[in-house]
Amino acid sequence: MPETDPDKRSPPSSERNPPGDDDFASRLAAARSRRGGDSDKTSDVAARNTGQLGLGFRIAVDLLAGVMVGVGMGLALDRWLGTSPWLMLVFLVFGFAAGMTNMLRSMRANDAARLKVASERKERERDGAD
Amino acid sequence: MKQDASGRQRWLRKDRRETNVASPLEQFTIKPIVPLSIGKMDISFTNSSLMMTLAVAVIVVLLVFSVRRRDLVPGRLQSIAELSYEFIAGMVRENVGDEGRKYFPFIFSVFMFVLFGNLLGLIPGAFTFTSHIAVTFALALVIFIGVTAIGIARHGTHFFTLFFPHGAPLAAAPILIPIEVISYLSRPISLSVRLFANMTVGHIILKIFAGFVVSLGAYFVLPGVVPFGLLVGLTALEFFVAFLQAYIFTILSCIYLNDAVHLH
Repeated sequence: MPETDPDKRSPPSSERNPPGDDDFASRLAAARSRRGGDSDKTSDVAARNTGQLGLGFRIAVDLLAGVMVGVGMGLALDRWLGTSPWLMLVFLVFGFAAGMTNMLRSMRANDAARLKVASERKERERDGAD
Repeated sequence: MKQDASGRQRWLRKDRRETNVASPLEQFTIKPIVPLSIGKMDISFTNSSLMMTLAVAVIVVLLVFSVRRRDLVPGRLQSIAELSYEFIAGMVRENVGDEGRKYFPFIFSVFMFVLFGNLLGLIPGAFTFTSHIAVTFALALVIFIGVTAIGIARHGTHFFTLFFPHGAPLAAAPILIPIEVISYLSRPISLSVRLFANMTVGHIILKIFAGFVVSLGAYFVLPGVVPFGLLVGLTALEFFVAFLQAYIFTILSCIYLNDAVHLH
């Protein structure tokens, strides 16, 4: 996140407040940003704690689920159309591809979360140094 | 000869005593408490049902009692309720956005049910209903069907563009559509298998290490300390896994909901 302006980091909802009670608005903004900080912390914890083993297991389940559904669909279609075992074989390949897609998506989501956490941490450190 | 036979008998008796240690899978057996049936269907009230009822009761009592006083500075109990509320509210806001607000009650219920299922299962002797694929798959199926219904209700037939990546050549459709459909249908399976497998494996490992404590400690007292120490660490890990798996189950539900609400 290339946000350098510290003013931009406050949530946009605070801009909607009418500029009546300055003290209240600033306190509300402070509370809001604190709440944002909380949710940052939870995603931080989650990204750190999924761990390599947990990640590996999750990804393996993603692949397995795709293959299982593919084979299941193939077998059901074979029974229905009487084309055993050809559709099962075709859907096994589709299922494997779907499992790979699942895995890639999980990995991408995981990478995005890690990058977000890292950039936020860097930003926080820079803010702390200022 | 006679001595030999009695020796073997003694050996057999000893063997039987040793294998009398509870099997690590015994904790997962479902036992009917109040046998009931409609026709041929068995709808007995089991230990699993008992734990589910208990989980719901604990959640309701906890939440109702904790907000009874409504202090400005929350006490311990009120903090638990507020923390769990804010945790899930933040998760829904972050992953689904403002449209997700109306689905908050459902997501919160799912989180609390899974979390308390995991945590109550850690009480020694208790039954862990989240360690059964039937339970987790039923939960995942409810989420899956609900999310699909929300997607179709919001977008109509436009929802099915989810199965065709935007901007892909039309000639690739015969390959891409089956892959995307299978990928979509595999969601409830990966969601339920992840929770069920984690809980089952954790409880089996705990039981096996507890067995080591007994078998090592019974013959040589001192070595029993080693698996006991490990068991303490594993128990702490299992508490963490209980939270983590509830978190993963819920956040994936949020992500699926987001797909249905926003269609990527």
